[in-house]
Amino acid sequence: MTISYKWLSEYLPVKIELERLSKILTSIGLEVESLEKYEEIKGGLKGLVVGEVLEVEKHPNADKLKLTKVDISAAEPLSIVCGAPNVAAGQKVIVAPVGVTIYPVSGEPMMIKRAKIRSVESNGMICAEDEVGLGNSHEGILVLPKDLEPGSPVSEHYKPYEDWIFEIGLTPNRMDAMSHWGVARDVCAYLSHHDKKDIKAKIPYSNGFKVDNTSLTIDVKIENTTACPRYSGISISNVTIAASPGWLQQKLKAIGLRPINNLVDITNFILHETGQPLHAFDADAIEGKKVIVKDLPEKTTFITLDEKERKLSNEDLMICNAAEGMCIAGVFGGLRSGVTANTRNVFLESACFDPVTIRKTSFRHGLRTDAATRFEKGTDISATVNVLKRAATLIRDICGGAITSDITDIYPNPKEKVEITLKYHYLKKLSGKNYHPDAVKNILLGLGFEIKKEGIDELRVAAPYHKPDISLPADIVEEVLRIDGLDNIEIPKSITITPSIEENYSREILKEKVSGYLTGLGFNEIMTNSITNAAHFSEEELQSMVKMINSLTAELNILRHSLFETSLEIVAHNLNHKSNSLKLFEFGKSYSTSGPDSFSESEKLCILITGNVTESNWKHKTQPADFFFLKGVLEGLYKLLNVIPDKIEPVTDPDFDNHIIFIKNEKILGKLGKANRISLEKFDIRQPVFYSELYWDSLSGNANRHRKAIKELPRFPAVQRDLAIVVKEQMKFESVEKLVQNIGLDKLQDLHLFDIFESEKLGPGKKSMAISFTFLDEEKTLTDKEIDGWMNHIMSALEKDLNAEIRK
Amino acid sequence: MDPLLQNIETYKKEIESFIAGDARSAEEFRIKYLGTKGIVKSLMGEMKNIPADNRKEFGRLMNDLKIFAETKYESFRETISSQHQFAGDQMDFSLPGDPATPGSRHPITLMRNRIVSIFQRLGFSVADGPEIEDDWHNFTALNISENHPARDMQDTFYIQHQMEGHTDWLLRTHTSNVQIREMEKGKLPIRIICPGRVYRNETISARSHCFFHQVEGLYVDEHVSFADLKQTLYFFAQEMYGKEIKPRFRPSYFPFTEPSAEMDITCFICGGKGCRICKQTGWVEILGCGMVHPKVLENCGIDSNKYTGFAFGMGVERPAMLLYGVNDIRLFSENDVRFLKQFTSMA
Repeated sequence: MTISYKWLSEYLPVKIELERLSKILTSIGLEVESLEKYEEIKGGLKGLVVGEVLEVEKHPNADKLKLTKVDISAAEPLSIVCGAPNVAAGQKVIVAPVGVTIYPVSGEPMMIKRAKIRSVESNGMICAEDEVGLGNSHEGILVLPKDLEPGSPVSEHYKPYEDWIFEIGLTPNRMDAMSHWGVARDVCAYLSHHDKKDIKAKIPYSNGFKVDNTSLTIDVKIENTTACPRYSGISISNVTIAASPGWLQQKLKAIGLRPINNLVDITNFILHETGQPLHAFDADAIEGKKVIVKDLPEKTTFITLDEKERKLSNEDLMICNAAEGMCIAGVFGGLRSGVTANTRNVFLESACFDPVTIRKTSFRHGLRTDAATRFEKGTDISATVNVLKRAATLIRDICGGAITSDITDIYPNPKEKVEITLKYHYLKKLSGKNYHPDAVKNILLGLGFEIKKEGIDELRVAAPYHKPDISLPADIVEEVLRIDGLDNIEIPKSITITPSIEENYSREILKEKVSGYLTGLGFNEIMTNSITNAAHFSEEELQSMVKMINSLTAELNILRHSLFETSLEIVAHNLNHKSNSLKLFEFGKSYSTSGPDSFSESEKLCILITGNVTESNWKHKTQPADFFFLKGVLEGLYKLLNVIPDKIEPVTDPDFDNHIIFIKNEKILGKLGKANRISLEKFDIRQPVFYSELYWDSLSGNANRHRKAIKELPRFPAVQRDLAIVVKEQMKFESVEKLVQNIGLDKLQDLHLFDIFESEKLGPGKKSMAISFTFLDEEKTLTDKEIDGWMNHIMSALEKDLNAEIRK
Repeated sequence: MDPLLQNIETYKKEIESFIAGDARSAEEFRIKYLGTKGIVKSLMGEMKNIPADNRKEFGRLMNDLKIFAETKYESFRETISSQHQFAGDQMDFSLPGDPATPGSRHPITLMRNRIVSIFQRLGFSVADGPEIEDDWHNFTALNISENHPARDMQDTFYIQHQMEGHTDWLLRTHTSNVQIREMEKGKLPIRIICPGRVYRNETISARSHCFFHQVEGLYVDEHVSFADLKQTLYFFAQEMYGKEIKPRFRPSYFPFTEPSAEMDITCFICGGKGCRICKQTGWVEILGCGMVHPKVLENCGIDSNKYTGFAFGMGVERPAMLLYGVNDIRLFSENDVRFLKQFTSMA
């Protein structure tokens, strides 16, 4: 909201410096977002002086230029080269001396410099009106009246209008401050409290109101009193529509409004003075001299002021005459009933409308007018008549004519003021500060509250009509804190808290631990949008996905059910920017429907690799990303979280080749696979991507937080034996592992696969596996004999059950 | 002892005492012992001449010898390769070490953790809640009336569901739903911090995105006052933005708090003199806060005569943009590794 310093000051009984006023406004909740100087003439003619042309000569090198000597009351007259055809000796002109910046009507500001024009020096500029913002003409230099003193500032002659403009970021609850007078009332409440003086804003309501006659009485009837609780009107006849007087135009221009004509300007002026929107009808267009406030049938057509035909809803409140609608109440006028240059007789409306009705209508028709935005925040229902008096008097004074009706005021159910009891101890409890009861009363009175009853420990007040949102003691507390200043509540030295036990503690810590592990391995954490594109998914997948009713774009219309697609988007982006080796991870949610009216969200951890997983260096070659690198990362992670899968199963998946899932206690921990060609093509990715996705909830439950008893260190050495076996190519390591485990050798600590190779020498369809076995007895040193026995046992089992050949 | 076994013993000793100081002698070693015509191979060829009884023992010893020789060779190679760039006696210390490139946390995680950890120090615990939320927890319980602009389709994403006429489902527009859910549990006092992802139906631009992150806090107990609120948030601001900042609390408006305020601090870029970041005002707005509205407490079944509380909320992206000098919010979701890697050293 825009507030003019000069205009506001008219209602303040004391002068408040700009700086202080700005601070006051922000501290009482009217945040000053910007404070800018308004200049009727840009640059304010600063630095420009009156000059007297002493001599004019032809320029030696240019036909159209002249050499002038101009007296600006300096030690020497200035030599200025001038191109204007009308320059002549004896003229008084506007001179911009060297160093002065001029602000032309169009184009950028320009600083005058000493210059050589066709080899003759020029020390300034004689200005045309468009060059200094005084008009649009560029016919020649502007000639000033003869009696002006050379060297005197040009601004003294023109006296350009200046003001300071506050841009206030108004919160939606502050309809009381949507006008200059409303802001003044708040500022005065502040001044009274802080300066300990009784300071009241000057009331602009005119005392000069007088009804001249009652020759043009318009009958008013409200049919929908819910949508229109109060409607006041008055007629003014024989007005002359013309341009507004200068003072009115200046005021409006300063707050960014374009003057239109005297009648429209007055209604705009009243709006910004009092906050009450007015609507002026051409009284001669009011059929039957009757105003009826009602709803019209659905789909009634109505032509608004912008010459658009609109279909009304039966929920749009209309101001009608005896025959038809004239105006969409509180939102926008009609084409046929509005004031035009030919209007002679005016009916002026000052009403109060239901905020919700106005808001809905305003959005329904896309008409976000100034009036609508005010009505939808609520207006002061008690003000309609006084505002009408002020406006009618101004119209008669400015537009001529006479007030030709009494004020018609239809207010069927006068609103009661809301009364609230404020207990002082509640004020103390909520604020943490002790306020003196007198200070509290003073603040509330200043804001327009009525004191209904005073007690030792409480105060009963009635809220003013301009504060319709006040209904609870907490609202009164806010008013007191606001005017006294939130910054005047002292910050206590010590802190008193009731700490709470962290229930998600291990969850948070584990995430940090896993992230530390992954970043240590060189992974970069990413964070992707949970909203993605339905086009990535098959019909079948879409069935259980969460869809939006309204979406931003066709590309963002569904919630992801996996982190796969959104992370491939990131891979694609990076490949496009020549970052070809990626190690990425993300903690994120996936979403699905879990019933007709229920949804589930689960936390996932995705880890993916592509390109090379190690950097090349002078000692080692790079290592390309592969399935087992990522599997190794996951195995490390399982150790970190103390969740060791008891089963790994290959499962086909439409998005992956070589896809496995990890299972523990029948619960899936996560999956790992190589993204297949089809899924990569969707994102135009042409290099292998290995992807894993883990269910964080299944993973994070098993980590040790509180207690873990350590194992004693063995006192006897472990013994290692290696064995190479030749088996069928298809033989899985898992089969060997299981077989050996099933033998049940309790001194066997570990078996470790350290080599696999295939060779023709082994025979077709064969491979060799080299495994090392570690044995340990906690009680004694193992003998070769014992170990040989176990190894024989292992070898014969392998030979027998897996048909393995022991390599010697 | 079988002469062959004797030989193995001898070779083993030979190998043990072999010293290879450079690549050439290492290669000599390899050819001599491990080459296709080397000692190990040729000894293996003798296998057929061993009596069947001794064959097994011989095999085991040969295997040991082979592994012994291979291990020795590997160790030569390792030593030599680490001395690879010897120039006379001087090692080239300027050669880069083996690459150990640490990854990075996402800047939003870093900022979130930074904010959360400050409040954890003040005894707040982390609480979590759903992103797909019903109308009650996102709006109604928070005293956001049915006609409040926030409920417009322009501002909120609504979710398709099959139970017509039932409650509206939506993507939460703030993390305040977690506050409501915690208060509804009825276990008082409450002292929580709620970080999370939120959504607004806003056009994606350099300044705004359709998803972003917030951290909200709530403290409800007997005798919680605005002064307590100020103290907690002043502590936070100093920890977050530096000890020298000064706070300013401005009256503001939120449907779910009364009184409501916004907290500004003196600009941490220019120190309050006025700059581009603070739009020449010297102040930067850092969070919204207030005393929990009595209606909100009552909506959650908490006696507003007995209990009072304060709440606050802030975005995560905005301080991340200010403190990391990021001027396009889309960089956070674009996840360009050239951007992400710049956060490797950030704590």
